[in-house]
Amino acid sequence: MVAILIGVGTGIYLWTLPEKKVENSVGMDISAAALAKEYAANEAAANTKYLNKAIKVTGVVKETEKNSEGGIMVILDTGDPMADVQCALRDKNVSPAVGQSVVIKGFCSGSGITGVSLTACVISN
Amino acid sequence: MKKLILTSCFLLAGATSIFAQKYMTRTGKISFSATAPKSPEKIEAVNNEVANILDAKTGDIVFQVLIKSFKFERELMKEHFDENYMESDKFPKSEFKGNVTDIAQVNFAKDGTYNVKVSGKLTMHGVTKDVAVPGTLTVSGKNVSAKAKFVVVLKDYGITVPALVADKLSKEATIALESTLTQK
Repeated sequence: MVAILIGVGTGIYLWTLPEKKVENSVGMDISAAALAKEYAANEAAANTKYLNKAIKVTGVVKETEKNSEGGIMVILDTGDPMADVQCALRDKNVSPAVGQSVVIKGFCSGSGITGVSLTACVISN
Repeated sequence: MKKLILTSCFLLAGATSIFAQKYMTRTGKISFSATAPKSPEKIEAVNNEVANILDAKTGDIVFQVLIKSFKFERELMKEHFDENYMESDKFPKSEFKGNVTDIAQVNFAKDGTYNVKVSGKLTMHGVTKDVAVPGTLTVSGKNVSAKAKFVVVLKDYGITVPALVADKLSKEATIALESTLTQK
């Protein structure tokens, strides 16, 4: 009986597992420029360090882009136009202005042709 | 000196025209569904962080997607997707790199929808395969919307569906691409 209850309990827990929220993690502090540089130098090593981890990145907003569902992507200036840091915000009602200094916390999902990506981000300053 | 200035001007003009033929976005959308016919729940996910670059002159097109950025309805599904199927720690990105083979028939100066053929290489889960799919390009001012839908057999990409979940997870996934690119 106990075993069944534990089984059902575990099942319900797993079934209703909440979405991971970045606020619940401390997050590693790094500047957008330093993060871009680390990825440019060695993507595999940077992935080992940052992939799927919470990161708190500081930088200046270079531009923003809206997706088809209204979600905002914030692109941070890294000083290198070929290596941006882009942060997909979790909430749709916030959109920082170009030129604004921000601290953005999110989960790193790696690096691609448009730069280093952070997902499910929140603005924490 | 005059010559130098002139050469610089030509180089600049050249660079500008090369740039002008490129369209890009960082916020394209890829959604997939791999729900087995009798499954009580939907196995599907969306990624709104897809990078897409199109060269209007050559027809070269790239879609790149980071696997960790897929969003699921249930966190548990995401965990299974990342750990058991896509192994996203090992293979963090998927990519389609190819060419719109009939790009010449698309008039980027005229608004309209054009049916196109795209062929190239799809890399997923560390496996690269040749893929040819039909799609559409819709020109609207300085924007171009790209759309395509195709089916991939998971086994072809080294993704095995255990018998235990075969009633939920289909052996094939329908992938839909949708992005609005802006001229750069």
